[in-house]
Amino acid sequence: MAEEIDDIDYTDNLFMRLLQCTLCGQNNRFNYEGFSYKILQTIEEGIYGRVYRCRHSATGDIVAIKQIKFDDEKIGVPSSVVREVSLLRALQHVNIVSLLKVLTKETYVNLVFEPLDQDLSHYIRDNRGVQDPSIRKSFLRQILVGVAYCHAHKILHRDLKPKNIWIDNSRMIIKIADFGLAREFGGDMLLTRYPPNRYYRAPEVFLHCQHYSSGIDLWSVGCIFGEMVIGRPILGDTCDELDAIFRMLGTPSEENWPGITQFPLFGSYAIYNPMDLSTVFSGLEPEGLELLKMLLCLDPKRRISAETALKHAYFKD
Amino acid sequence: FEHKKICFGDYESNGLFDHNIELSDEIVGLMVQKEEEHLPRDDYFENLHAGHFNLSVRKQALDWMMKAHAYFGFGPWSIFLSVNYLDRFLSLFELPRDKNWISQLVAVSCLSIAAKIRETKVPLSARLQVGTPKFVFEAITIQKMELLVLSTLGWKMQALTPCSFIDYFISKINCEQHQMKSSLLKS
Repeated sequence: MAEEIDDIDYTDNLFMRLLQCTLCGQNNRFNYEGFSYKILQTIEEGIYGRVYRCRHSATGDIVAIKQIKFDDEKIGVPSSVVREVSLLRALQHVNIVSLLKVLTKETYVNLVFEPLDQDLSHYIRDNRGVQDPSIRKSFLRQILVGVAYCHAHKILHRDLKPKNIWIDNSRMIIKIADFGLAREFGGDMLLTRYPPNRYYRAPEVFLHCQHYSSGIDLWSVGCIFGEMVIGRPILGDTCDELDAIFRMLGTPSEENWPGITQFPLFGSYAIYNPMDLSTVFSGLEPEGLELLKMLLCLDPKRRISAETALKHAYFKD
Repeated sequence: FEHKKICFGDYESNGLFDHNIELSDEIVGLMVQKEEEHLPRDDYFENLHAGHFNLSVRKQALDWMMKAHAYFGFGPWSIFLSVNYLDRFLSLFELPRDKNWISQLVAVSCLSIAAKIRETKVPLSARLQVGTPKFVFEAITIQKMELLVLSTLGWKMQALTPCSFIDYFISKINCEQHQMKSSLLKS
């Protein structure tokens, strides 16, 4: 592991080396300072690369640096990187992790983020959920505010899960991160690639509904809310998540999900009656339970939007 | 505008009016603000007219982008975005005048980035070079140019296009028609 990450944007000398030209005077937006970031700790190691906690050598500022490598030159800059970085450049909100700087290198990018302390999955594991009702409410409200902001900008996150939600410990502020799968929605787009994480995936995605929309993020928020209450993923270990969803919430019918019988995959599922959610989520206040049910509404058309969820009685204090 | 027609067609045939985020005046205000952050420099059009070099680069790049765009059957968003990236890049970057291959490399990179933003299926970057262009580049060269375009544009690739505003204007038109109808009925 390299001890340091230099604070140099590769583009500064890219053109000189490759195309023998000079950069426009106006264009030194990454202001090359000649300093470096000292790596303090590796926060996370993923398939795409690593996340480091670093300190800037001159200012002493603590940052998180996500290093994404471009493995395959045949595809050029991966579309996930193009999307994530450009979406983060477009989104500026207190509940969305802020991207301070992009350092473009020859075969990777360093994304410099505000410092991140801990993700929600660690918090849930260490504290067996989010037991304090007021903290739980505050976390959920902040997640919904962030999601509402994304949706107002017509951006779907598509991969909301506790691992992608970070907590600023000192101020207890939620920061939604990891927009690698996020996309703009609406317009002429069919969304065909499915988000990989199955625990937080909405039922319409399992059924291969092609025109899914903002509802998939709200479903994930519902799963995260439930997980904060019981301290583990609400579906538990299962090899058929859709079956587990129907076991918990009851198998839908044309009555509560018009059009459900049109999905070819639907026919293979058994008919279950809904469980009593007040026993499953026994620690939750009645208003919270009502909101949870609205988030975990099977029919995406009737699922509550982030905007409306924020006006729910659960948040009236 | 031909593209607008294409776009209208797509909207209608896919019945995509029903996504549940309505474009309020407030959001459209934000969109206009966002659009301004994704425009070429103010002096671009003057410079374009004054200097013939960028104009010919733009024309060559555009010709090829349109061909390749049609070949792959990309949606209207991709071509709008490609042109937006091309114009912004040309307005920020002084291209070397003695390299006549440069316009083709810029064109391939802009289309490639636009496809990555909007399309669900993106061909390998080297395969993108259809229509027998005069210059064909290796994947690694295209990747480098992509990086140069991305960082020159500050990675601000979520530009708005005419498509972004169409929903809003359609809803305005529908709304006004409803009002007209109802006022006619009243009278």
